[in-house]
Amino acid sequence: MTAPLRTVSLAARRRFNVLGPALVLVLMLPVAVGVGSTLNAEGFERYRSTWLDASGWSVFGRSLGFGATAACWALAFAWPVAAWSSRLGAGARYTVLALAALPIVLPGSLLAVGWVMALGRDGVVANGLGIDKPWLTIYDKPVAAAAIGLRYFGLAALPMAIELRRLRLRSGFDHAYGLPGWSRWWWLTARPVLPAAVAGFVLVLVFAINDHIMASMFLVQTYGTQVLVALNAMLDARLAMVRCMPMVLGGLVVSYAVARRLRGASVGETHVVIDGESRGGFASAWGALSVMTLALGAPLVALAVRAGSARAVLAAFGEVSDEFQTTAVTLAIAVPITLAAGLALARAWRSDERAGRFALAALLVVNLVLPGSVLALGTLRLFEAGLLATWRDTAVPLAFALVARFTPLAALLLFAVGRRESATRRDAAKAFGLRAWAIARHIDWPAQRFRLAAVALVVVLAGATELEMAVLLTPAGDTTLGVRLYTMIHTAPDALVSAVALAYALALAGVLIAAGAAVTMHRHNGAPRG
Amino acid sequence: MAELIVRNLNHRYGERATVRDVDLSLRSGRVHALIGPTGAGKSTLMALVAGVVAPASGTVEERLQAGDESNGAARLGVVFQPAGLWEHMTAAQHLRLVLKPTGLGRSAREARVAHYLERLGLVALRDRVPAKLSSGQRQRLAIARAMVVEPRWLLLDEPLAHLDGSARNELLGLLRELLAGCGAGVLLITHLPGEAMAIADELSVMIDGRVVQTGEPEHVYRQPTDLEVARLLGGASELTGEVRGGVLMIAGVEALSGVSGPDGRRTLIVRAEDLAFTPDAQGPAEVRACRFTGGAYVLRVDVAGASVSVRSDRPIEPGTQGRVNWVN
Repeated sequence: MTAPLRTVSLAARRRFNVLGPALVLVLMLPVAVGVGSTLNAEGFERYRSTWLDASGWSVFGRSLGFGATAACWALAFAWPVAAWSSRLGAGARYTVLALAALPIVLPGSLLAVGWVMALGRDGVVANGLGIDKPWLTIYDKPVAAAAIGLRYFGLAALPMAIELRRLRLRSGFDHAYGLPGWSRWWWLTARPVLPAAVAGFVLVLVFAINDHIMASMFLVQTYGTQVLVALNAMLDARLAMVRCMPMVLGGLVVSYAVARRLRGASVGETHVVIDGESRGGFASAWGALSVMTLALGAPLVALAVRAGSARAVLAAFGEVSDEFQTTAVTLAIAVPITLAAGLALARAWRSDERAGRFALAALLVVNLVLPGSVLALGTLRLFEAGLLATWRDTAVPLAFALVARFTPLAALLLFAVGRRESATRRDAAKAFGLRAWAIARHIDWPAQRFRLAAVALVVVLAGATELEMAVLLTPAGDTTLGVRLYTMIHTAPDALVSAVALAYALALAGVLIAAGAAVTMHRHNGAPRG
Repeated sequence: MAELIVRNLNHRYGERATVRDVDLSLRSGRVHALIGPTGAGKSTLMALVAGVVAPASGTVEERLQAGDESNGAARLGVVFQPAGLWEHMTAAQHLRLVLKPTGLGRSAREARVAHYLERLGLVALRDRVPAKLSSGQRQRLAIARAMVVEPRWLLLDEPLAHLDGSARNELLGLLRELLAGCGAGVLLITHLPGEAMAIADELSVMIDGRVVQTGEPEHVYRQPTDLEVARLLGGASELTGEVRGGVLMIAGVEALSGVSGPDGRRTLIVRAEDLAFTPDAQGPAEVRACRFTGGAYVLRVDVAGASVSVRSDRPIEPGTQGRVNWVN
């Protein structure tokens, strides 16, 4: 036998993916810097003065109680939506859940202005009924909590809808066992959905507590207002941070729990299921439609009534053109970076072995669950000194905070939408010797561009409507649209505030309608032809 | 002749060892089948050989001689399981894309695409995306994509998976024809013995991450190293007892006669086609069930506390007493 001419090694080399952990570390910087700023003598003094005093606990207790009330409302609103959506086909189900989530991506200030116009002391409802001293106003805490519950009920509806759908697919023949109606509902529906309901409750609780924009506009004193007072009136960033700490600890616990759930998230699974019976849909459909109409319709109708005319709304676009520009510039910086980082993290997460997934998932969720004010306070401190200080009074700090806040969202969405995708698609390309650029151009981009656009839209909406960080980070006189709306309610006539809010809502609706049209066209044109 | 040598290959998925100390070799022009139960680590081994998964330890090397590297040929062609087709591309685009790294000119590439579309019966389907193809057509596209690069090594992971009887037989015939003429060294992964026996020049059996036996297909079938290998290649039973003068005694009962080989305590692995049942009212064996399997019957026979399958040309009533003889 002839001696071999040469020997070539073919085995792939094991490479440690440093990009994922490195990105997470950068994204965690604001939280680390913010919390770190309290870990010194001055910080300890603030801890002592806040938490060894009844006032600190009283504010925290009030936040918790208010958040829990809002979460209870949200569960009640979420149930019919989850029940109805679980009975629908895929397209209609996603539409209903997307509509339920819509109030979350509308700015808190917009919804709050709408509710104030509807249920304020001289709101549309009171005026319409001719009541001088209305007995039901948005400034009553349970009503304010209900309004916040109507913003976040989509968060509770999602896990319950998933669980209900699973039950429906699995238990189509349960009625054959002859159990009485209530017993069947309790043992075969309510009990199995309980963990999902608890998860939904906790999620809404966290988001409701951290939403200090709506709470402060409804004049509810939660920790959020204390943070604003500490930072703006007392010029004490450490004290502001210390007042966030219970929410930081709570957020870490929630992150841990969510990450444990995400750890088991598998890649490339498909299930073959047999749909079960579909009965009693009318009540849940009626309930769901009522909730969704109330959540969006009430504030928007009140705004329309108060704005007076279409001309006033058109004029409002001119009133806030500078704020539009600031918002657009900030998003132009933040969104591409968020998407690129989200893609890199989603890829790292997909390729990571199960052992590594947990740490990455836990860190990813932290920035999404912690109060926005914590990220903002950390970002403020980051941009106080050194090279970064030159950007302090620009759109860059807010853009950076938006990247830190929403990269986890982008990564989770990109991971979720790519879950069903077979990993062998890329493996095949690699095995055939295609280079990384060719794989990106010919395989990844055509297959993923639509998903990427959809996630970009979510990030744009989330960034455009974010307020908790924007309130703290936008330079004076150069604010975003949401912040302007938040501040002008105290300084401008109701008609103008309503017109601006409606203009804001119309701009967002325009983005959503364009996205919907794109989806329709994609489905129409993208269908493979034989 | 080029040779692909896998040495001491190991892979872990978290805490679980999926591939353990695997040695294997492929030679150009020969088909090496790797057979094993689901979860044995076959597909992971293929991914390691294809270089898309990194091993914990071990090497995959190819030894080349002058003339082994021809222009326009790729190192690897792979059929994955699942096929890993690119859903946004037409059949022809699949073939064009994988030809790009080969360095062939445009016209040569187009000629190659046309040739393989024709060989695999995909000419009429060249402008269809995978979603518009049937299961069999998708598998043929996956095979065409692997072969169009005229690779030195062809790795086929369950190329006939998800196909029903007639489509499977049709594609099996086509695959045998294509492999005979391609000159590549082929690693064929399957869990079906029939598929492996029909195509392979060499057969390896993989169980629980290890390659437990390698050899010519008939040798592995006739001389399995243990019961697990024997069962994997076709229904087999195990009988343990004392052999005396060609008779296997179990608990003092004559369980099986016609046994070749030395006397002493032995464990025999027997298949239905190795055994025959002779009715005898005084015999120690009893037929418990009789099943028609197409062309023949398979009896389940209890003898001396053990249960064996026995092939029969005619049906025999359950409850019939008799004797079991070794016939091969």
